[in-house]
Amino acid sequence: MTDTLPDVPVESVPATKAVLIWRAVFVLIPLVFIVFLAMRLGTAKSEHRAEGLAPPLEFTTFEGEIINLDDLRGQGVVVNFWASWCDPCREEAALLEKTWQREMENGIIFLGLDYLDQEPAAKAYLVEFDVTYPNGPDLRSQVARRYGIQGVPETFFIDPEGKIVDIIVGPITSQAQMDNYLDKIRPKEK
Amino acid sequence: MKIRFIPFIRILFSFFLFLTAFSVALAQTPTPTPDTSAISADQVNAVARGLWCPLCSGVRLDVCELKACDQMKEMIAIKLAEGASEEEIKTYFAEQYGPQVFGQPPTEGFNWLAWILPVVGLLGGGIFVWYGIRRMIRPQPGVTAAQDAPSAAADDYSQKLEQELSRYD
Repeated sequence: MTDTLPDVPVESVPATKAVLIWRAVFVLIPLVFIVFLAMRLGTAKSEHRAEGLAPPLEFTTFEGEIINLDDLRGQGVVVNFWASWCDPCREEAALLEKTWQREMENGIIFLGLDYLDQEPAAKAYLVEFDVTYPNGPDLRSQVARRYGIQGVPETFFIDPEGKIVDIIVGPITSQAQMDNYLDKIRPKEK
Repeated sequence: MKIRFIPFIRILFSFFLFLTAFSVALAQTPTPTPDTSAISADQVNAVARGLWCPLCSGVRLDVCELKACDQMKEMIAIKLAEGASEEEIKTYFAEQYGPQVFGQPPTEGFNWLAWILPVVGLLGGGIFVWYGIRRMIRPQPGVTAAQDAPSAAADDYSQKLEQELSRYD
């Protein structure tokens, strides 16, 4: 038989009110902060995106024309985010312009938004690829943030009702692939 | 009077024609890019040092090697050649890319939290540590009394321990 050590009473110090308050403060502050951040993130990715609708889009082209997505209701809209420093963007630039030339009379409009770029380099890029569809800088990346782009190039296909039908991350390099997306946003003939 | 007045109108008209032709010619000429050869890399880097790459995280523009950063540095050289000040150049980039090019959150709106929270955290943590240390240093009467007057159970335990040890003596 082994002797067991007797239970020596340990003086337990009860948590004082001050300690409880401090504990609450240390738990609550990060919690409030996390909730606040989550709310901010929620509003940044607008309600439009949650409903599948294209967020508001307005920009001024390099030529000074103001483009507003709301004015384009009833047409299929292709919104392409690009940059002159982006090599994959070059892979699709010619195809985008070629398709725009073909589709401009068919109720489909192409828009280009220049992301985190410098105007001289961007303009040189547009000249290099003979891009003629409306293009402009996305100042302060406001549109890019609203659309939640992951990088460039990224292309949004928006139907005549203003719903985002397809989002393509990376370059679109084949005409067949492009036509497949365009067929989904083509205005229905009346 | 008439003899003098007619040549004056002619001169005025010719001058007006010249001005019109000159302004049309000026409007048709594309804005030339200023010569940046006189701007040294050091001058560009002096401005770039105060800016951050908008595509990277935590990389200053002067040490960034991305193509986008090179374009930004070229723009700094152009702006310097045009006679823009460092502040004007920084304002230009802030308009283009937003305040993140400054590498620090702007002191407005929600961004205030980024400035306030560390201070609040430091103060709160400091006060918490200070109270904690004070509590540890201050002798607690109850605990001391218990240590000074060991309980009966502890006495009993000591006696048993003594007995056990004495067996080995």
